[in-house]
Amino acid sequence: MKKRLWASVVLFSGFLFGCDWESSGPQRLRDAYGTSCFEEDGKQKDANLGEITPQDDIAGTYAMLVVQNAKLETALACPPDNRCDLEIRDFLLARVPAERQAIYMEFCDQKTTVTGGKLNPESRITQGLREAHIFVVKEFGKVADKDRIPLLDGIVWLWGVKDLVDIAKDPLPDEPSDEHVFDQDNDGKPGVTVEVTEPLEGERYMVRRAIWNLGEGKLQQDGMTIKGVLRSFIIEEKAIGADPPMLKQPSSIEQATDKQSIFMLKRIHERSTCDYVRQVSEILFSEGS
Amino acid sequence: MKKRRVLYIFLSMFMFGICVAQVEKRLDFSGYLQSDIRFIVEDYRGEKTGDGYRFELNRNDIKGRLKWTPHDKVQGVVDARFRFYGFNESERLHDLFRSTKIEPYDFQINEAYLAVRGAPFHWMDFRIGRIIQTWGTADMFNPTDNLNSRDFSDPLDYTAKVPNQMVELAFYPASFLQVQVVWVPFFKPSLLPPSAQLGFSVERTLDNCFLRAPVPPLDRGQIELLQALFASIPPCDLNFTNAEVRIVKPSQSLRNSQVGARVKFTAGLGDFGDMDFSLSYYYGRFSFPIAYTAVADIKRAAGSTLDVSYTAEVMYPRMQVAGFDFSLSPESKQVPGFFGELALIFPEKVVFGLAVLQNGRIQESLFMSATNVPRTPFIKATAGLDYTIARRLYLNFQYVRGFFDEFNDRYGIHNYFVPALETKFFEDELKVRLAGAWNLDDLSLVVFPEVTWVAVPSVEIVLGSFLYLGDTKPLDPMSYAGRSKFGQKAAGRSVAYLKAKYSW
Repeated sequence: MKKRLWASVVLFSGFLFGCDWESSGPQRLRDAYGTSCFEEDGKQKDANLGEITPQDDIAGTYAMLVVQNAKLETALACPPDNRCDLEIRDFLLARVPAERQAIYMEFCDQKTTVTGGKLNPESRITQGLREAHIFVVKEFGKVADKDRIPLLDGIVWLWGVKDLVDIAKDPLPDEPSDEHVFDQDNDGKPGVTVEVTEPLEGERYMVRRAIWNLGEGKLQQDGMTIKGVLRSFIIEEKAIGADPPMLKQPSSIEQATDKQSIFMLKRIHERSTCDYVRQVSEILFSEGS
Repeated sequence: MKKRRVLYIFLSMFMFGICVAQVEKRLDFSGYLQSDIRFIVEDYRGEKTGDGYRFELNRNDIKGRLKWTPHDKVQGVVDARFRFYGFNESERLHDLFRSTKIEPYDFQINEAYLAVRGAPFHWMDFRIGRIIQTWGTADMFNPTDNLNSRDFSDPLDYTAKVPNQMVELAFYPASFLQVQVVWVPFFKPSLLPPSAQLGFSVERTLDNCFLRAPVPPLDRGQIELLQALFASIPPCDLNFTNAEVRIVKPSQSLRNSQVGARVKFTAGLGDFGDMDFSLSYYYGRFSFPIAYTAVADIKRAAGSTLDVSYTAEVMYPRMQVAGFDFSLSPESKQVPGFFGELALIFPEKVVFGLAVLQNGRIQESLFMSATNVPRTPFIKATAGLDYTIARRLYLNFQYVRGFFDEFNDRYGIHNYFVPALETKFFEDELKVRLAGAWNLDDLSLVVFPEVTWVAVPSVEIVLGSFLYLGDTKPLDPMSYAGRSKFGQKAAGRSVAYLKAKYSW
């Protein structure tokens, strides 16, 4: 009798513990929105979720936005008598090491908006360019103050070009066969590819140089934000090919004098990547729009 | 119109039944008539500061309970309630054509069942129909009592339950032993107080700028990431809509039925009186909602404004409950009565997921998940005593581990002290009662003082108040558990009330 009783208790206990019920909210969301980018019962897949604490020191990791307001001239859409307003928003991952002697920047994304023309051209960069890991390191030349990034002149970004002797002054190549042109976005086309959606659909293969002269970047009272003015910039683009060919038409970009260009940095997690910056850029910088 | 016709027919049949049965003396008809007026006595616990010092309720209830015994072994029970809400709900001209908008009311059948005794065997009873079960020996806080969900739609009537259809078999194999088996085909969730929606609401400043969003059940680092994300946007540019909360309902399959079994013993302890104790088992679902998913859909609006619409889902996790309860009622008035109840709960694991959508697409880096309810078994329990001193002062003290709505999710299981003191004067014509519940973890409190005057036999006039004391702001804004149990706005409004009740 005792044995039977114990057997019943053991059986019943096993029944209670044996249930492997689980309701997974992430799985439900994945089913609804079609994503698989989570680690079950974990955090985000690739972002370090340590604390983001405000600091009174510019050292740290940032999502960076550089807004360049310019005038665009291109034959069909924005002729000389009707130049367009061009806003270029470059999103970067930036790091200032604890020594405060330099800033490391990685290009993550670019969004452009053209307004005010006869036909406002629309284009976007490719994923290959976003993921091309284009870096620039700019030395401060001294240890920066705790609360500001110093004036930084001559920050040069090159797309689709390599091995220039003077990266700021050497002329950009005109032909895809030029030895300085390379397939930076790894799509099998020369230079970098820009996808054009308006006024014609197609691809433009180009090389590009941007030179920024940043004003002082001041750490704001919130300990999370650095803001400054982009004093001046130069953007040169050369089309070295296009499909269809009419998209190869030349264009010129000049800094707008009627609208200030700015830069802004928002403190993010130490180990965040460009992928994170791309995901949160619109939210982080909604005030910078 | 159709609804009213049905009510009239039902009422006529009810009255006809009363007449017939009265004649044959096979009827027991009891009930009450009650008026209840409540006034909100603060203005800081509403959705916006400044909402208060107004009437909350102006209600009239008519409740009747009819027990019909056509045969020694058969009994039919109908327990029904008419409720008139007393507030004008008309908003448009055509509402003025309908009395239901000027005089809103509802009708509810609490119980309607058939009970058969001693059939098919003399040691067996059964009941079928709409029944309210009460298991456990503690005073209200019964963690082993899970067959009927709770009805907190009226926070002051905290003993109310949601009726449900069920089949109950009771066996009496010996005089000291009772076995009860209950099958409830369909799950019904608990009713929540109207203030519960404030648990999901977005708080705004007086100039309507974003102040605070509900904290999801995630790890601290994840919550910090979300808060940092939104903190980077000027509050007045953040148009955060109140959460739309959806319910994930269990399907009507057999596996979503509930089953309970209880074995109840009575043992004589000589001078100490009788001791009742029981062992119970329950298979079913936790009847209060548990946070399951959340989606924040972010859209750029005009200018620099960012629209964030928030959709949440809640669900009712499955559980098994192994229960034990006892009560000791000494014959000597010098010794207090003791009771205790313990439920060992084996929960379904619930993993919470949160997604941020931008342009309808999930942002991969902001896809988060965390275990909200672990699979680990946990205990809810109540232990207490009641004692009457000199026939005048009644004391009831309870220690409660785990409030009704707690399920070892990220909020956790909290500890409570629940005292009640009651004294009577003028040959029981005047009754003064002070009751409350004190959260021992966050020290928030609900206090419930009440004075009852028995004006004439069967007529009671009650004056009282129900007061929530605690911090309305989060104690820790980076934690799902960082809110005050009774202080948070979702707990309810502090009110003063006047009731008049005639019972028969």
